[in-house]
Amino acid sequence: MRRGMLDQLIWWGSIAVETLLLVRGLQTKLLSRYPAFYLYIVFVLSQSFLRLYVYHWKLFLYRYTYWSTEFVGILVGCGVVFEIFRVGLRAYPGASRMARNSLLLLFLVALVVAAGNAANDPRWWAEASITEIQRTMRMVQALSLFALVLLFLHYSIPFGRNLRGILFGYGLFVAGSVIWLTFAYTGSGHFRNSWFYLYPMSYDISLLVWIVHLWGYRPNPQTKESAQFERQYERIAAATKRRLQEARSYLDKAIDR
Amino acid sequence: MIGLISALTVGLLLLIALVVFALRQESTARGIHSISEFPGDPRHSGEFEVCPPELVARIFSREDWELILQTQSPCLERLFLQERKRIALLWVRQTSRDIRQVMRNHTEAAKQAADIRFRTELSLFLMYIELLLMCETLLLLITTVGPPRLERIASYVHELSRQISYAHEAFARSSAGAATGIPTSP
Repeated sequence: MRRGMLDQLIWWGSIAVETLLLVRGLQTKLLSRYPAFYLYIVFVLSQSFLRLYVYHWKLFLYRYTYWSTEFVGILVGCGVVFEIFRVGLRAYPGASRMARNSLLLLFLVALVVAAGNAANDPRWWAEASITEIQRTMRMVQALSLFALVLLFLHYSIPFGRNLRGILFGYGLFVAGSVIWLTFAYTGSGHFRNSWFYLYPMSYDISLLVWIVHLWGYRPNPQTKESAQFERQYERIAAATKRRLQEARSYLDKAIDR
Repeated sequence: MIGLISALTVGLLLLIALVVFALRQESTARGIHSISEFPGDPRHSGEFEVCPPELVARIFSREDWELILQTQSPCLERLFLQERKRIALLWVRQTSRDIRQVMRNHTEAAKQAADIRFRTELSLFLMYIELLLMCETLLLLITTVGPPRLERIASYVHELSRQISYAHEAFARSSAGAATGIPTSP
C-alpha cells in the first residue's frame, strides 16, 4: 500500500514538474532557444502518460512499453547533448572544432570496441538483455557528456544559468542512469528494491535542477570578451610565447649548471 | 564484471566532472577567478619575483649539501635541508602556477581560433598534464626525499617545459599565418 502510494507520488510529482517546466518555457520563450531540450521534456511527459495508461489498463504491455520508450528517450536525449554542444560553443569556433573532433574520436573508439566485442563473442547481440544494451547506449552518452564537460573546463567556457541547468540536470540523470543500470540487475533483495526508487528519484532531482535554472531567461555570458579576444588573438599568442620563453630561460638558469 | 566496473566508473566520473564544472561556473560567476586572462595585465608581466634565478640555480645541486656534510654537524645539516626544502617547494609551486597560467592564456586564445589544430592541441594538453603531474611528484619527493637527491627529475621537468613551449610556438606560428589581416601590436 505504502509502496503504491510512493510510486504514485513520484509519478504525479514528475508530471507536475514537467508541466510547470513547459509552461515556464512557453512564458519565457526559452522553448524557442532550447528546442531540443523542450522536445525531450514533451517526450518524457507524453511517455509518462502513456506508461500510466498502460500500467492501469494494459498491464501485460507495460514491460514492452517501458523499455521501448526508454530507448526512444535515449535517442531524443542525444538531441539535448547536441544542443548543449551547439549553444555552449557557438561563440568559440576553436573549442567547437575540438569538441567535434573529440566526439568523433570517442564514437570511433566506441565503434571499434563494440566491433571487437562482437567479433570475440558473436552471440552477444542475440543474448544481451535489454538492460545491457540500454546501459551500453547510456554509457556512450555519458562518455560524450564527460568529454564535453572536460572540454568546457579546459577552455573555461562560461555558461549562462539556463544552459548550465540543462547540462547539470541532464548529466546527473545520465550518470544516475548508468549507475542504476549497473546495479539494477546485479544487486539483490532490498538493495535492488531501493535502486528501483532511487532511479526515478534521481530524475526528480534533475527536474528540480531544471525548474530552478530555467525559471527565467538568462543569456550566456560571452559577447564582449569574445570580440576583444578575436581582435587580440595574435597579440595574446605572441605574449604567451614570450612568457613561455621567459619561463624556459628561468628554468634554464635554475637547472643548467 | 569488467563491463559493470567500467559502467560504474563512467557514471561516477561524469558525476565528479559535473560537480567540478558546477563549482567552477559558480566561482566564475561570483568573480573568484579574478585573475585576468589578458597578457597585458600587470599581474602577469612575467617576472618571477619570489625566487631569483641565481638562488634557485643551486636548489637541486649536491655541491652545497656535500660541503655541509663535511662539517659533520647534524644541526647544520638539518637546518640546511629545512631551508633548501622550503626554497625548492616555493620554486616548484611557482613553476606549476606559471605553467597553468601559460596554458590558461593559451586556451583563452585557442578556443576562438577557427584554424585550431586538433593534434597540436591534444599533444599540448598531454604535455601540460604530464608537466603538472611532474610538478606534483616533485613536490611530494621534495617533501619526503629532499632537494639534493632530485637533480635528474628536475632536469626532466625542465625538458618537458621546453617541449610545451615548442609545441605552443608551432601553434602560434600556424595561427599567425592564417590571421594575416590582424595588425601585430608593437
